[in-house]
Parts: sequence; structure tokens; C-alpha cells
Amino acid sequence: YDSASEIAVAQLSLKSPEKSLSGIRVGIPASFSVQECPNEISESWSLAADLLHQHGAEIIQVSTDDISPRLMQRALAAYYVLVSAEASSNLCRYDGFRYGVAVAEEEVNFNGNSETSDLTPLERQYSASRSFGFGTEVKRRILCGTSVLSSDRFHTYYEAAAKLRAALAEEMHSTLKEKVDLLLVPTVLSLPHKIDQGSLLDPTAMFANDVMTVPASLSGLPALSIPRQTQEPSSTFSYGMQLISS
Amino acid sequence: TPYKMIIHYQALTRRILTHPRIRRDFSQWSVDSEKGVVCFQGKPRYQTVIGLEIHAQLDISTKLFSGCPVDGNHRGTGCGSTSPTSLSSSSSLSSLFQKPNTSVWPLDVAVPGVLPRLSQEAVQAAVLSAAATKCELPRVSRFERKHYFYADLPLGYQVTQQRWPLAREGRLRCQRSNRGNKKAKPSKKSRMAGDDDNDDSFTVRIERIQLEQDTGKTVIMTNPKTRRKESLVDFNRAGRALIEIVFYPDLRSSVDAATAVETLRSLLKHIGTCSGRMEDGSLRCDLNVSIAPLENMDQEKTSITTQNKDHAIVQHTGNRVEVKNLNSLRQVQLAAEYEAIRQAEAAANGSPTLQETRTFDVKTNQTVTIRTKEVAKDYRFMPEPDLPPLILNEEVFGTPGMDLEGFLESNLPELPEDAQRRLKTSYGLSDYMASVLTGDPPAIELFDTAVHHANRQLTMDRERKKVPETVANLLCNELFALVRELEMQRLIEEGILDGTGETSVRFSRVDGNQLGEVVALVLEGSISNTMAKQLLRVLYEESNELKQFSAREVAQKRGFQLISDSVELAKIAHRVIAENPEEMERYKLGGKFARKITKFLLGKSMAASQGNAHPERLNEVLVEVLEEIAPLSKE
Repeated sequence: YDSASEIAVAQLSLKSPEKSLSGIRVGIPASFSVQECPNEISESWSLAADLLHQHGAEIIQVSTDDISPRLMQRALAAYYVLVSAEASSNLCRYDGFRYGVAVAEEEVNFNGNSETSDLTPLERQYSASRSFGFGTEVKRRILCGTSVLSSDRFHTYYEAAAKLRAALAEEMHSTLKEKVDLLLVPTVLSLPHKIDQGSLLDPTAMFANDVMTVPASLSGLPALSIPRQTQEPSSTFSYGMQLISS
Repeated sequence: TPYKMIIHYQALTRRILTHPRIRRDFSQWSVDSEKGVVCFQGKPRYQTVIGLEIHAQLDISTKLFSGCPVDGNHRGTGCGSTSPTSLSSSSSLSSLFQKPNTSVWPLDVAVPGVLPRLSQEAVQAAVLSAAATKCELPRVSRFERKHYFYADLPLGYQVTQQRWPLAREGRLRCQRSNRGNKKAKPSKKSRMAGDDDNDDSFTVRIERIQLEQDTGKTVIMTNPKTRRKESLVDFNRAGRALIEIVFYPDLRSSVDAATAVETLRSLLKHIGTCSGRMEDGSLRCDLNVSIAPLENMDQEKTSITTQNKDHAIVQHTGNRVEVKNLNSLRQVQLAAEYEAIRQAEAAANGSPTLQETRTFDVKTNQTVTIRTKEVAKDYRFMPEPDLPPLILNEEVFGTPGMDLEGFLESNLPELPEDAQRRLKTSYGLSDYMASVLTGDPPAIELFDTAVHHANRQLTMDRERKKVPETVANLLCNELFALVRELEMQRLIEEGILDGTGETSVRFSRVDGNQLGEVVALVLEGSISNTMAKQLLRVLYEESNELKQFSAREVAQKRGFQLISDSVELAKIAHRVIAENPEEMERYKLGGKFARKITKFLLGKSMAASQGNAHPERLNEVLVEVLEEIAPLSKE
């Protein structure tokens, strides 16, 4: 059952306001309504709900009992802990030994300093290739991931994040099974930043943009982001809405 | 001085392994190979404590996750049939001779974008191995990643099962061999559970069995061009399915450790999950050795049971040292003994050894430190996100509706200890015979068939009683020899087997039915023992031509028949008597002399007939002839 394709069909037949979405329950989860959400986006959200309602969908408020705000607030942190951990693990294979970027042997040894003196030659080789080959953001995530997987931190970070993920996924899944067929939430809480501003922004703050998409990722649920026409014709970007289904 | 100790040690190496209980002298320290007690100047000071970790390569058709086929000989699980044509038809030799990096699929070298897919065969083989060691098998187990960087680990992590292994809490029952005393009966004590010092058998507990990936193989070679030493990596082995079997530190001596390894090896071979060749690396052993101080044990205190005493000892065990790179049972034993003494000496000198990893140097028979600075490795275990939890259900067993019990029921062959027991109790075979048969599992099947068939052919209970023993004798002494002589060389030459295989009746051209018939012929008196051996050889050598004939028919055609004809026998008797005039004089003295000489002449007559005379008939005829020639006065 693919509810998203039904919506697409509905959009195509926008001209004729038939009740093509009758029988479909669309949920608006209260816990996704975060403080940081600007007014423009809240408005956009309401408008989207109205549009669906016009086409016959039933709009249901999903209370905080069903999807708790407590979990929502920590979802972002959990996500980044888990994602960094997995990234650090998946990227271990890039050592330049069998494929990919590798630093020439002569250069490796030339750069030997006190930091790397207790590494074996192989480790020094890997280190040089990886330092050279990975970009900054990647390195950041690898270091973060390695850290949360280390034995002293695993319990506090990874395990806690995994538990949180399981709890949130449980709530999302049961809401989508019992209460509603779809969830309607914004995709982002801000418009894209300008390219030249990119380096000035705090990388951690950048993560905050993901707060709306993280729950679906963590829960393993399919989500569809739909761009929306903005009111002002002059602006290029619009606030997108997303639909999450089971 | 160190040099003196080394030389002394080497000189003793040969002796130690052929004579049990010889103590190893090393300066003034020695260790008892069988008991593991470390003595200083003859006084017991420490007890050796050993834990084993064994990695066994599963004998399946593909690697664990990549689907890459594994070349070389492999049979399905369970015992093979006895027909030579059932061998796998791969024309390639075993993986031992493969060119490096030719048996590699993308996942095996961590090409980005490939995901793992668990092989059902691997799970099945692992489950059988766990069941054979009486482990608990929880329904769900999980895979995790163990991270470290090394050239032979392409992914940068190994997929293994750390926290939720496939199996837990098993046991391995081992038999201490009575050297040179192969027909010894186990003492009554050994029938009791638990391991006592006076026992022939002991049990080692298994902590866990887990499925994991094998790494590639690193080889150090000298580059002919640059003349420098290089490490080269061969990924043929990378990704192969392994089971890691971790034992509790229950072992107390080097001989026990070697015995445990051998027992496990032959068990896994028996159920067909691992070929068990330590030289090839299909079975690898890591040793964990530590020592525990023996306080002044008051030998008279009998209230302390052996088990309690052992428990008290082990509580104070020192740091354990891991020894890797052991490629044979002999090395396991030598390494354990060397370590025990090394640690004892260090502890007594006030600087007990730290926990470390060492490797075994075969040239000097010593263990050597791997790294000077040992930092505890943090493997950053993480649940494997690309694999679902492993659930032992019908999907993994490959048959609809099949559960764990059903799977084991239909796939786990009779275990050696059960077979051994059955052969001894049902058939009355000796320990030795039973162990020869269980040493080659197809032999058990052949034996059962032969006994069954022989019983069908014989009518008298008196004859039937001797069936098992006779079958066993012919099987173990004759048939094995025939297979070894006529079969094994050919198979090696044809490349079907490599040279390390052991003789097995699996390759025999004579089957259980034929053997049974031959035995029946012997026991009903149609042929002699000598003739039976010859008949077997004929049946074997000419198996193709004689296929449609029964053993009985062949015996008749080839004239294998006990000489029962009185005339024939009389001729023999006469001849023998004529050849032994002195003895005849003695015979004429009568009484006990007559009896003795009769026996003597009987033996000579039998020999003259080349063992082909019917024993009872010969006896009758001989007596008649003697009566004729030299009648004795009746007393």
C-alpha cells in the first residue's frame, strides 16, 4: 500500500476537487511542533493540512502521548551519535591499500613526527592516506563516531542512543499502525544558507536542520518530501512538507 | 644463564613427547607434562592453568557472507558414503595450492557498496558443531563488528558475535590415552562423572561458540629486487566462515591441552563440519596459560576434595599469557610447558608476568613477546547494522516447518562417544577396536552393515556370537590395509585427495555386505581365516569384474574352500607324521605325551595345509590316522 502515490495522483487532479483522499487519515503530531519552528513554516504546515482536508483526508491531531516530545528532543542527538558511529565503522575500509587514495610511501616517512612515532609503519601509512583523503566533515564524523564507540563511552553514548532510537521507532510505528496512515510534518525549519556563509556556520548548528527528518530515519520509515510553491514569486526556495508512512 | 637453559631444554624435547610424565628440567624448575605441576628443586610450587581458544574453518561450499565459492575438497555434513565416486568432482586441488588472491569476491576485499549475506550452510555447520559439544543454542544471536586496522582485515573490522554468540555452555569429554596399553579397560572410577586425578577421562567446559569471518593471510617474503623483507597479503582466506570455540580455563596440564585439541579436532571431522588440519590452518589454536600458587598443601587433609582444592588454587591464578601461532599438537604442548616454567620463575623472583600476547618460535621451542609495549586493544564493538539478528528457524535450516530439534535429529550423526559406547556395549568390542572404528566414521557404518549381513547368513547362535569380533578384526586389520595399499596412492596421484588425508574405508571397493558375507563364510566353516584374507583381496582387486557375484560364489569359483575331504586330510596327516619321527616316539609313550604330541602334530598339519584345513575334521582325521599307525594301549 503506497499512500504517497495516492497523493501524487491527487495533486494531478487538483483541478477537480473530488474527495479523492477520503478514508485517508493524516496525522499532525504535536511533538513535532518545536519552538524553533518559524512562523512561516507553521503557516505553511497549516496550509498543507487544509489542502489535504479539502481533498477529503481526515486530519487528526497526534497527541504527545503517542509520540513523546521527550524523545523528539533527543532524537537529533541520538541520530548523530549513531550515524557517526556507523560512519566511522563503514569508513574503516578506506586505507588506500586495495583501492582509493593513498599517500606515496616516501611522503609518509618524510612527515614522520613525534605524534606518529609509536605507530607501526603500516599504521603510519594508513594514517597519512586517510588524513589526506578524507574531507573535514568526514574526519569530524569519524572522530566523533570512534569516540562514542570507545569502551568508556559506549554505554553512555551509543547504547543510550540505540535505546532512544528503539523507543522512538516503537512509538512511530504504532502510531502509524493504529492511529493514522500518514504523518504530515515540515521537512526543514529554515531555508538553505548561502554558499559563502557555509564556512562561517558552526557545524553542530548545521545538524539542527535535520531535526524534522531524523525521526523517520531513526525509525526506518519511508518519507516523501514535497516542495511547495512560495507565496512571493521572487524567492527561489520554498518550505517543503513531508509525509511519513509506515 | 639463558643460553645454558635453552640448550638443556632442546635436548630434552625429543624425550618428553615419547615418554609421559617426564619432567622438563629448566634450571631448577620443572613441570610435569601430565599433571601440570611446576616444581622448584622437586617441590611443587605452582599449578598450570590453561584455557584454549580454537578457530575452526567451516567446511562449506562458500565463504560466510560473500557467496564466493571455496575450492577444494568438501563433503556435506555427516558421514560420506563408501563409494569412491561420491567424492566432489572438483578438478582443482585443495585450497592449499591456490594462487594468491584468485578466490576473492568484492565483499572479501571490502569493495564499497557491497553488503553481506549470511550463508545458511555456515549456520547449519555451526549449529551442528555446537550441538556435538552439547551447547545451549539460544534462538537468537547477533552479529557485531570488531574494529582494528591491519592489512589482512579489508573492512577494518571483523564481523563476529561478541555479546550474543550462537551457542554457550557446552562441554567436551576427553580421553587420556594409555600409552602402549591399548587394550586396557577403563577403571571403575573413570565411569563416574567429573574429572579426578586418577581418571582416564576429563571434561572441559566450553564457554561459547561464535560464528565469525576469517582474515586474509599475511606472508613475509624477501623481495628479490630490493632485497628487503616485505609483508604480502593473500585474501583467498578472507571472509571464510569460522567458528571460534572458547573454553573455560579448566585444563591443568600441557598433555591435557593437546588431548583436548585433538578430541575437538576429531569430533568436528567426524560430524563433517571442519576438516581439522592444523598444518593447513583449518584448525587454529590459541593457548592461554597462567599459573596458580600451590600453598603448602597438606597431603593428609583428605577432607578437602579434589574439586575444592582445585577451586581454591584457581582463585589465585596469576595473569594469563596468550600464545598464538601454534600449528600442531606438539607445539601446543611445548608452548604450554615453556610458559608454565617461564611464569613460575618470574613469579618466584618477585616480578610476576603481566598479561600479554606472545608467539611461538618453532626453532627454539620458546614463546616470544610480540610487542614490547602492550596496550589493551579497544575493539569498539558495534552491532552489525547490515545483518538482521540470526534466528534459528525454518528459514535458516532450509526446510519448511523444520525447527532446531528436527534439524539436529536428521543431520547430526552419531557422536564418537556415543558410537564408542554402543560398539562396546552392543557388540562387546574392546576399547581399542572401538576407537579404531570411531576414528574413521564410515567404518562404523560399514561395520554395522557387515554385522547385520553376516548375522542374516548364519543360522547358529554359536556362530553368530563371534560375528562382531570377526568383522572388527577383518575390517581393522585387513580392509584398512587394502584401502591404504591399493586406494590412497591412486587418489593422491589423481589429485582427488591431497597427501595429508588419512586412510578411510570410505574409499573401499568392498562394501559392508561383502565383508559380512566373508565373515559368515568363515564362521560357518566354509573357509579359513587365511582364505578370508585372500578372498577379501580378490574381491577388492577385481571388484569391477566380480561385481555381480556374491562373495560365496567367488569363494567357490576361486577354490577357497576349507579342506574337509578325509582323504586329503589323511594324506596331510600321514605326511606330517612321517616328517616327525622323534615326536612319534614320544607319542608312543602314551598318556599326557600322547596328548601333547597330538596337539603338536595338529599344528604342523594345519601349517602344512597352509591354514586351509577344516579344524575339526583335521583333528578327527589325525586322531584316526594316529590310531592306525600307532595304536595306544588303553589304560
